[in-house]
Amino acid sequence: MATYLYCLLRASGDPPAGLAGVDDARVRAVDLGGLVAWVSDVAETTIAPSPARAQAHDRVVRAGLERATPLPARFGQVLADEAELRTALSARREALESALQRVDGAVEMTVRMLVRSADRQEAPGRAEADAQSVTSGRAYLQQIAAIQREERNVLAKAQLVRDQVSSVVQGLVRAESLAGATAGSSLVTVSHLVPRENIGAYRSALQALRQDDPTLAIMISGPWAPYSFTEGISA
Amino acid sequence: MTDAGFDQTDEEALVLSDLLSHVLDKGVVITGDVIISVAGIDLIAVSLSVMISALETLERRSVGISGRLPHVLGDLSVLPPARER
Repeated sequence: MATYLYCLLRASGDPPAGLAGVDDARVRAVDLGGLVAWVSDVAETTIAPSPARAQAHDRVVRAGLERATPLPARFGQVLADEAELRTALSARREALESALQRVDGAVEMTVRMLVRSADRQEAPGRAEADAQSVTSGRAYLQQIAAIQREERNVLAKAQLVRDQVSSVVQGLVRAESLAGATAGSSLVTVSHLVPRENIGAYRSALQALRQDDPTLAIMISGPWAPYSFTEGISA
Repeated sequence: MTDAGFDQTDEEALVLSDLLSHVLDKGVVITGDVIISVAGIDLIAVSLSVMISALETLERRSVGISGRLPHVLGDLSVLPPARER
């Protein structure tokens, strides 16, 4: 039986009785003395991701979040057995403990925004579809230029929106993590490490942002365990 | 709590995509043996495009959702553009 890792906590104590993890396996604690790992048995060392398994993973991590802020593992961290898990964690103990300290008392909140270029005449998808149907070379090149212009506009707007978000939540958050922007993508994602007592104020600040820019669609989700704030620990 | 006119499947797609993009793409990595599988990369990519299209749908309908969702313990709020409301 291989060992599947969900999260790490500083708090001691067993997971809630009956807590089921990936493939309905029982979740148990592995105590490393001041550092506790929540794990379960899985059949093999590689595990294919699926929506149901990902939900099970997060359900366990959330049970941890109800006690104290855990350091969540990425889906699919499986070690050959408990001994190998202990070795892997001991080797990174210092980094894990300082990461746990950074996230202590905080949660992750994620904000996603759809951005458009300033002139919304041509959505990229529409322009691309048209490009396939034009027959003249000149018209084709004009279409390509329009698509590229649109992509540059979207990237510029995305940067602007990210800056606005940073400024409205300043003072309410402990850290910020930006998802990599891709050319042509209209989805901007920013995660914040928010002290638990600031969650309400954080939401209000982002709603106010929308009043400043009425064209902005915003999605706010959380609290999450701090998935985006686990830097400094290497495989 | 869902505003009238919002499609339940869009809401579910949005919630699941948001979850997948956290769980599959972020978090502590302690074992180098596990390189994220093709299936995982596909799921992340699909999640992002599902999120974009669900948000676009909401924008078009000018509806918002806000509430404590049964699927996860957290909250989700989607606020469409104020101008179109």
